[in-house]
Amino acid sequence: MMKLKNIIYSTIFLLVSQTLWAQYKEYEPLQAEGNMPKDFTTLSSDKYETQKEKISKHDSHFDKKAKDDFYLKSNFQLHDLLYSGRVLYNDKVSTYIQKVANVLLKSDPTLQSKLRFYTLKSANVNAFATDQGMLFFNLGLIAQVENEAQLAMVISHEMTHYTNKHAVNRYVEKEKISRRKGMYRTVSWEDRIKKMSSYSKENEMEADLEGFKRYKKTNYSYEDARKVFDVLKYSYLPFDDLEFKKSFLETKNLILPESYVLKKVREIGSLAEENEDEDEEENHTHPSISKRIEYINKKVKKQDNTGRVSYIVGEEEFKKIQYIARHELNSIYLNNLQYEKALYNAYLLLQNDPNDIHSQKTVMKALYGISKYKNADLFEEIHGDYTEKEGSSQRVYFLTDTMGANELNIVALNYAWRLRKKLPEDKEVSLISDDLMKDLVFNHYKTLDDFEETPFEEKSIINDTINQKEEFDSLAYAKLSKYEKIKYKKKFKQISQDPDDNEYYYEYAFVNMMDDEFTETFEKFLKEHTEKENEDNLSSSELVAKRKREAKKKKRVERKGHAFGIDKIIVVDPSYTKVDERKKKGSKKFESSESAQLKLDEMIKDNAQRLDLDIVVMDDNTFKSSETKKYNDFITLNNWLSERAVHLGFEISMVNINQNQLNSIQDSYGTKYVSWLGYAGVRRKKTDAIYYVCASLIYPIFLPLSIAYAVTPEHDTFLYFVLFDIEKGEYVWVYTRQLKDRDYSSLVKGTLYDLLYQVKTKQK
Amino acid sequence: MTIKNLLLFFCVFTAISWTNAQSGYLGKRLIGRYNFYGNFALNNPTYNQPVGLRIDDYSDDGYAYDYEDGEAPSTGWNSFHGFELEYITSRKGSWTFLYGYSRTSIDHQQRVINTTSNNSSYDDDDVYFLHNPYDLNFKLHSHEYGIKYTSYLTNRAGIAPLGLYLSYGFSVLANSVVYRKLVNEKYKKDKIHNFTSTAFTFEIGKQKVFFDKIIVNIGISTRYTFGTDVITGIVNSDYSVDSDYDGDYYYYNASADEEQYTETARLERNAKRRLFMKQLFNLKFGVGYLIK
Repeated sequence: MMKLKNIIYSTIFLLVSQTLWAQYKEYEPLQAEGNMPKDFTTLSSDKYETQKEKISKHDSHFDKKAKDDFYLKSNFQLHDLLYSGRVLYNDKVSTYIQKVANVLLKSDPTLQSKLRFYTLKSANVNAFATDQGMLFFNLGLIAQVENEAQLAMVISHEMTHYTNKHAVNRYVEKEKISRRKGMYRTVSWEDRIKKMSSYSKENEMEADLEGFKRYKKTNYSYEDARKVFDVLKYSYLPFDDLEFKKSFLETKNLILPESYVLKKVREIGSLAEENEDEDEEENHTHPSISKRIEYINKKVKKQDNTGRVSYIVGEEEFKKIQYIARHELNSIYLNNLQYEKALYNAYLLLQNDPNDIHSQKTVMKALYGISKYKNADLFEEIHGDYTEKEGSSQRVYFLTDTMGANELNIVALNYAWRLRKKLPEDKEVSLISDDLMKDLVFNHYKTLDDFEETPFEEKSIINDTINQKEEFDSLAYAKLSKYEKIKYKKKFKQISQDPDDNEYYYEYAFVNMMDDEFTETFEKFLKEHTEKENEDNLSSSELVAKRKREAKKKKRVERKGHAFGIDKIIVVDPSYTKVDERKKKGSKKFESSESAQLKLDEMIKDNAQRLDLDIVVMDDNTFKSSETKKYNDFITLNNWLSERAVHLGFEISMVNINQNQLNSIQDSYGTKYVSWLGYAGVRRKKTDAIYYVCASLIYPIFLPLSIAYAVTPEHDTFLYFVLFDIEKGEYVWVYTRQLKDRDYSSLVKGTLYDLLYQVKTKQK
Repeated sequence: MTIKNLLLFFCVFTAISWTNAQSGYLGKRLIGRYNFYGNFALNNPTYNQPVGLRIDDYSDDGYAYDYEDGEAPSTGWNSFHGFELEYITSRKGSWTFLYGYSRTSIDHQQRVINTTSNNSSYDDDDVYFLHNPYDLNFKLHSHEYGIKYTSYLTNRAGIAPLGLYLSYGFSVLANSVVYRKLVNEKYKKDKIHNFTSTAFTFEIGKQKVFFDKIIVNIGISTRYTFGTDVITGIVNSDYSVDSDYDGDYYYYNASADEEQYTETARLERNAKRRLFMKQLFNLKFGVGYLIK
């Protein structure tokens, strides 16, 4: 009997815990899977050599040269893209795209074997094909297309770019135009510009036409082939257009003033119309969407859509992939410091699933980012001008623009603290809410007495901006797709109610929130702030002594170097760039940069061995096909470092917004130290040589020396090393140098040893 | 401190410091180096060549040298050699112990006393100076022992021992003047005078490492040898030839503060002047080995 009871209890516990787990299960970020494709593991120089061999012998000398130049540049630039930390392979999205592509390529196995499909972590609604057969699809596109058929039309369009070699042909044509070759010899500058854009447009139209021909061979709906151009037309907007209600950020006691709600949002399409008037369409590289719609409409009209479908691979799978893409946008926007976009994107996702933890955390992180930049008086660096936005998301930009730094700090803390109570184990939430509290103390409030403990009189927090009297069916509206909403909304005028504003509304933000944990955290930062103030308010003699100490320390560091005493570090994406500024056509020396980078890799490992420093090098030239896990870590770290570098540039100290991912990297590599390291060797013409030559004409004995000086180039070596602590999210050491010397091997080795020595050596 | 002791000191010192990873080029901090110093002798003799282009100057002063066939004013290289042990003490600097050896001829006009009158006393007219720049009988040999601090410039490699550097140091020179005469087709050498000098050394140069082991250095080396001054050194005139002589002392500039000196002092003065000029400005080329 007892046993049965136990079993029942255990079952109930298991069920409850599973339900809770399901409720709080966070969205898993999209990652590359399987083996690394050859595109990633082959050196760019090898890819270039292979493509070079394919240049036809019958081409003219100019064409051969232009093609050679194109293959050189494109292969190296593509390599940079592949390792930009934004490209995924064999992931759920790429695999899905491949499936849709297979439908299109059913009757063309040769082409099927030549193409590779990759996902690009970019919010832009775009896709592109390379001459090497790589097709990239932005997550922004996946998030916006309405169904599988629309995606198929885009894939088919990109396939044509590949099959018709548009990339290389466009390059050759561009070269001919810019160098006035052949038929362009006597053409004016203006006409050449027009010719250049019209050539690109011809390519696009060709891709639409041939893409549609391929599309027609499948059973996908003709209607969707037409509709995909609507997606492109409104691609600058978020994936949906739902009214942003301020109640989303409010609580019972924190009620934002009505004046913070933009009364009337800009009509969708109005900006585009204005811009179209201003721009000269003929100079654009792409034909206008309206023209493409018109063109495709003609083609579609002739077709019978009966029996044609929007899904062949499957609707459920498409929805799943779109869900992933839309969630990925949260992270993309946050990484790009587009906090307002992240906030609205997460808001849209939360309308469908209010328990979506990933989106809730995105809201918190977005508010955190906005608050940090507002507190630092650098808001304009991350803010999108609300007057240049249209649609419902405009209200987000207006709200953040209107709110003061203290208000934003309070609203962000309010949101983060509530999430903290919901997710007490989540390190990211704890770190961010702590930092928001710290900012509140350091920048705005020195006592909790400034905040009310009893609620403000009840007020209506519901403020629908859609006027019910005009019979706007909000329920029906919510079910519409983005494009239908745009059309529907145009029929109605939005009228907002006059608010009964409370100027000091934020003083009620923490009513019923100020528990022990809250007050203790506040007191902790208050103490920290007082100590810092004491440190800053030194007497003049103390100040002099402090400065002396600091100067002495600086001198010692210069002489002896740092001594961080670190035993293991990860070097992410070490880079070596060779530049010859004397070259007219592109100064980067691709091939020698690549071989220098390979040598640098060896040097890093050699020096680490000498110093007994455990080192993991994540170099984009040396990944092996089995190293997908390492590649995913590379992406996470590289993106994180890029984001950190921007904050560092603005001198803003922010905690990690993706701490959980970083923690797992820390655990798997056994170190919390990650670095960025790079060299650049620059060769340039001496600008002052002419003066020396002229001077030596007066004293001819120096002429040989002056000529020798004039003809030899000037060299500079640049190096940077940034060491981060991923646990704290802070940089430990930033080291940048410009050396007025050639980047000869012993210089690189010597400086590299010096850097790693300082990392390894312990303070005595 | 002998060279042997210096080496011993380095070995002990460096052995103590090698317990941990260290600064220096790939952890190597001790460099042994050979240096070649040279300057173009326009106005001075070398060890085997007479006074450079200045020989003609003597044609007007009554002691002119009559060139014989095949003899003509010429220039040459004054060179000397050195060995260094450099120890890198920090990222920016190093200490160096150096030893150098140099030799050159001294442009010294030999005093001749006419004693044909068999008188024990003689006057000014009995004394004359024999000047034959092709004789090269007076030689100066110098052994230099020094220490210098090298600072590696930060806008270049900035990491010792790479890139552009500046050195400052102090040297002691043990000098001997040797009188060399051809006797029975063989040179007979007499060490006739020893003296010591001190010098301030300054060097600017650039250093590069090859194959992680070989270190090559080019630069400009200057040594300011005390005991003479720039004007005396550069003008290089032996005042004694115009001075009064009483058998023991020369009197120079009698009308002002009278200065007197012996024949030995005159020789030392000329030797110092020669030493000053030889050390003042030299091009340096060094090849070293990164020992440990």
